[in-house]
Amino acid sequence: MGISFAHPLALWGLLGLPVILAIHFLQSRNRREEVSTLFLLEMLAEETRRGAVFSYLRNGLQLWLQLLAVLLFTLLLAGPMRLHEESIQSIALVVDSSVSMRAFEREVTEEVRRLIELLDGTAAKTEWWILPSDSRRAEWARGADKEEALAALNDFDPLSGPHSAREAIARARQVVGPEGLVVVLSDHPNEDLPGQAVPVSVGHPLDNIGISGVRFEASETGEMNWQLSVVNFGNEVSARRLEVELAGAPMGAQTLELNPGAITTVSGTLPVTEGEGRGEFRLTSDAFSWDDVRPFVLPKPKSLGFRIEVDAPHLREWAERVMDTVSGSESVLFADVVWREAAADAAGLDSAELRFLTGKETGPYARVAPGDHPLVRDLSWEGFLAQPFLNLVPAPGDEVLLWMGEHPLVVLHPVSGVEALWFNFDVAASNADRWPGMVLLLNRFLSRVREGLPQEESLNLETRQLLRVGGNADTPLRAEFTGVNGEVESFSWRNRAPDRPGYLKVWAGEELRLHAGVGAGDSAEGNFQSARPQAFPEDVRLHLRRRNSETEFLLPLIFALLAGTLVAAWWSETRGGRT
Amino acid sequence: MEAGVCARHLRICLRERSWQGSQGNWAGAGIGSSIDFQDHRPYMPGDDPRYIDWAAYARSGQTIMKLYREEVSPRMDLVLDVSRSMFYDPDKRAQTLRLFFFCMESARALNASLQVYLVSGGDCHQVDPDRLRDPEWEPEAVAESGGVPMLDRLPFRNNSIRLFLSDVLYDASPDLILRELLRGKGRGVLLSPYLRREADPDWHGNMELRECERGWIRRQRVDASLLKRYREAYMRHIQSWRDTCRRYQTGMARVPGDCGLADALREEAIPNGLVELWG
Repeated sequence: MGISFAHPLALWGLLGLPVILAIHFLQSRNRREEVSTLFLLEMLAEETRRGAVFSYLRNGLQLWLQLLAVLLFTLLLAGPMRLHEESIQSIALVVDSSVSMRAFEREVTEEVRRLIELLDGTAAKTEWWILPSDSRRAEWARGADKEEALAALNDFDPLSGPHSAREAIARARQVVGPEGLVVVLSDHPNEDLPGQAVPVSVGHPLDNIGISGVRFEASETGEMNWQLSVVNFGNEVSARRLEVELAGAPMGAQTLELNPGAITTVSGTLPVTEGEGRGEFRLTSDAFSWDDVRPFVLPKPKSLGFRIEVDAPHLREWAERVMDTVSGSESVLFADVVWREAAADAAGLDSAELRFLTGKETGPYARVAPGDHPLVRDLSWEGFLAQPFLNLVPAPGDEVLLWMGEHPLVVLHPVSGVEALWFNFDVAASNADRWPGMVLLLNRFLSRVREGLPQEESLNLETRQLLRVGGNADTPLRAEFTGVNGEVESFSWRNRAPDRPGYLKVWAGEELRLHAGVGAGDSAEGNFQSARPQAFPEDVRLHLRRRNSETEFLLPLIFALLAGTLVAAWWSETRGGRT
Repeated sequence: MEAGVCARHLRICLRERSWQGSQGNWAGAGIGSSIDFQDHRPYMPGDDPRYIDWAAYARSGQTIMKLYREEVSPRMDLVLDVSRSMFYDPDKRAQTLRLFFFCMESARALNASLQVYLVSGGDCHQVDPDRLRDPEWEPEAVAESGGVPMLDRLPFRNNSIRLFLSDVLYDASPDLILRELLRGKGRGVLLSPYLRREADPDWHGNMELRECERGWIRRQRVDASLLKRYREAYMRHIQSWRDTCRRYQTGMARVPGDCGLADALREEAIPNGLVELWG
């Protein structure tokens, strides 16, 4: 029949029953008396010698009426309700797909199972959607019954970094409609969710210690120096054993004493060996093992050949200073990138260019406005001073990266498969050589040039890191991923590192272009100090249940019984008085 | 003390019949030497020639015996029910003792031949009346078994008056007891101390009732209905004793325990002629 109560807290009123019983029995405790006429009573009363309590309960009509009144009144307050047989509802569970949820996989499964069991009874039929909070990932179950929804949990594999669940919540709200329920399941409490989503958290604080980063640098002796940073997210000093392995062979181990909240840097040296140079740093495993292993390869960056063809001393000095900061760069004759001074209509080269345009007339200072391009994205130009040469008209295909007023300052000019960066201002009269944004712009351009070079490189990436593998657009890229457990699987390369730690190889045709160790990025995911449990609010369940139920079907009966009880109590009272 | 005071003005009434016994002040059943003329009859051989009416012989020439009523001291057998129910309540105990000693004083005043028995169930003891004057004497000390008094074990004297002091609160037929009380041509008088709260108790709600003689405990919820039925049963019980006493021509008077003895006797004993004013 599926009867439940709209206000279950009112059932505490049932405590009135023992209270009434206690009051009655306290009022009617046995009075002791010595008598001489018990034989007369023996003849009269058929009750057993020790049946006073039973006799009292049997004969105490007032008591029974009071108990019944309390019961009925409690029922009235509790509001019994019965599900509509045709009621149907939609519930979407948006499960946080952040990596941090890997620490609570068992709790997630149990909570989803509990929620499904809890909410399934709030309507005659419930449609379930289970979606990841990262909207870029495929949803797990849609429109399923609860068994299918539970089975979909097997696909729970949280791999996302920090992301906003807003899009997933909006989509969930869209599929369940305005009357449906959206539940967001995470490992930390959420109070400010859009779309009237209901937050639920299964997390709790963990004292996690993990590897937050690694850096390699070739030493002058031909070896590879490494620096590993380990962070203790816990509240206590902890010790962990760090093991280093290269090409399957142990290369050393040490015990680290880690202060709470501190990042500890550990360094060492590895020999540069023949072969792939794969290895891994391994910390003693804890509750969140995701950041306990860091796969790496000994880095072999692409070389970047450059040539400086500028005469102006300040320009040459600036160019040399910039190129000194680019690792793997060397001055060569047949360069991959050329610094040069030339007019805008001068013929292009086969290589990438950093061209400083020449001119006579310059425009006035004006407000600098960046274009929408990755090379200048998020860079600040407030205070950048330069006087643009007049009369430069961007050609079709050119992208203006910086504007000063209506005059282009920096232009990205594609020429026969390579790119040239044009600087349309007098560098000597500007603060470009001291402007951080300009230095970053140059580094981004040089990195872009290097990425496009069809060379093999070994480097270490973080999960989901964007990376362009150079090569001919006509040559398809093929990738292979090897997990930390050694399982090899094919991988679809989309200029982004895999979601999980391991080793990656990318080929262009038959040529190996990239060999990378992929480590867990987003080290903040390993911080569980703000993780707290948050229970599903009971009032929401009651609201759903109430909405899908009829609540007044027992009211006439209860009112009738209550009235009957009161009348009977009155009758009993008056009759008792006459007796 | 109060029993003695009462005995100066009240006594057990003995006028209703003739008694046998040693010479005394009360009309005996036979011929005696009192001054009360009783009858004339012809002299029979063996008669005491002292009772020949010589004046009548002078007038008629017949030897006529002049008979005077015999004056005797009546035999009084006083039976006290010493079961616990007679003494469990202080008021009832006091009244019972007052009544008991009143009977003894009354017997003494009547110059009756008194024998005293204490009975409790099957336990029967004859006690020396002089011993009962001991202020430390406690009648309930001999009460052991309780229950229905076995009067058949008492050696009542023929033609004695049997004063039976009992609350008659036992589950037995009054016939059995009164038949034993009256055997041997005795006259029975039943004086029954009682408490008004025995007849009309104030029980209400859950009661733990302890039977005073055997110590049985009964937990009983008492409501108005049960109390009403109890009162009716009590009255039926007492009425059955009254009816049976009437049938056996035994005087019965109930003596309330919650007032003075004189007032208590005035309630039933004096109106019923069991106790009379004198002096």
